[in-house]
Amino acid sequence: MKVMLLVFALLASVDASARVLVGKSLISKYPVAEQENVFEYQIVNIGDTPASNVELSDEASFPTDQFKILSGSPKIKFATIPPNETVFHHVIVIPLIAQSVLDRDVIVDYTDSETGKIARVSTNWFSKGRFTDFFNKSVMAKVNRSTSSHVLSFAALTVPLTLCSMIFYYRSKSRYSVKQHN
Amino acid sequence: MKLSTIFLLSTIGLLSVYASDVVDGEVTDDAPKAAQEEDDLTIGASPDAGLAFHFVQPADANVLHEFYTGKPVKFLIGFQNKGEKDFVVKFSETSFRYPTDYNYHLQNFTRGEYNRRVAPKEEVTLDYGFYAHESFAGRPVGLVVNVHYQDADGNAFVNNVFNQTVNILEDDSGFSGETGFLFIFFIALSIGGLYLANQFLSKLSRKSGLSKRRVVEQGTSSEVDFEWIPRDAVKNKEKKSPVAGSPKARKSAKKAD
Repeated sequence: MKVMLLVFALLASVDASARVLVGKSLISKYPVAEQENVFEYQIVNIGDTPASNVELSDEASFPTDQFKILSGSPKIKFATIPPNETVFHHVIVIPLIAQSVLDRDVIVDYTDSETGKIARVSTNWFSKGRFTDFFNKSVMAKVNRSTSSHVLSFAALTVPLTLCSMIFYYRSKSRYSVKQHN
Repeated sequence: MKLSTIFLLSTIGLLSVYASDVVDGEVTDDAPKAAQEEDDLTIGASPDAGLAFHFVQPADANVLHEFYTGKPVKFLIGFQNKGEKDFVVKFSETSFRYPTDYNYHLQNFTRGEYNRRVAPKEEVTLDYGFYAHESFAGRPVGLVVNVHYQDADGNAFVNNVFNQTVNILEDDSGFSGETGFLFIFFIALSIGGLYLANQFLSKLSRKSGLSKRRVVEQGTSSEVDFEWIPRDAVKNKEKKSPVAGSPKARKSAKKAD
């Protein structure tokens, strides 16, 4: 009986392991230079045992001469990720120049609770090629046209018509309305 | 008809029915052979590749298998090279299939082209995302995700990482223009209805008012009661009564005054 249990335990430990998947995506609508861009890292442990000393390193994607990191760090360490848990990490950067930036691999190193270290890499953004183009801010201003111009054009269309109708109404009322005798 | 002719016709008919059955038997005999030929041409998974799949974007999608239309569905595919040679992960193909017949494609999504080289003992995560169109709302569909890769020798492999029926639900959370304008329309209708009701009610009251006035009104009498008019105004009016006729006549009347 004990031997059987031992055999089962051995088999179970061989199957149980931590496996981490990592993904990176851009949360902001467009990648624009001289503006805040929010990147999200999803680190998922799909294994059965916790993954400890999870280290995310993505400094290669944001060289300090081209990017200014506002909040969040591309290099971060998580003590442990329980099984079937996802960790979301956000990094806000401001690209200093409007240019194409080479996409680099995101590396996650983690240690299984029982076994040794495994390094993990991920590609960024399927089928988007190898570059991320950060657009010029002035170009994006044309795309996201400001709402004030919308209101002004709407007013330019509607205010004259409304004013004319009001003027006609009050003129005719003052001139031709029949005063009721009580 | 004679009994013998009926007998003859019925036997001929039965024979013809059984003859067609024999033909059917010949057709069905061919089918297993065709299936055997197909098996030799299929491509499968490589034993040196370990693939994993995990939904990221709808947080409970791994358990619930429900997606909302118009909201992105993102998932991660883990590729582990357990062999001694390089693998190249070429692309992933995602598709919607008819839930009861997975051979019928409802929608094929754009391939996620990776072309990612994976060294031995290396592990790589790839991601993909798609939107379910609102025309699929309220329907179960079969979601199939296949990963195509090849090894250093050029052998092609396909691994199916997701193959289940999912429910596509309609997204009711956002404020839709339809309900907003419907709301405004009903408000306008109610205001119009109130206005009409007001008109109707006032008409009714006016009718009763008229009858009251009829009671008060005596009708036009020939005698005009000038008691309440001050004497000066009456005299002025008598003086300045306009002369009927053309403006010229009026002018002459004035000159005469």
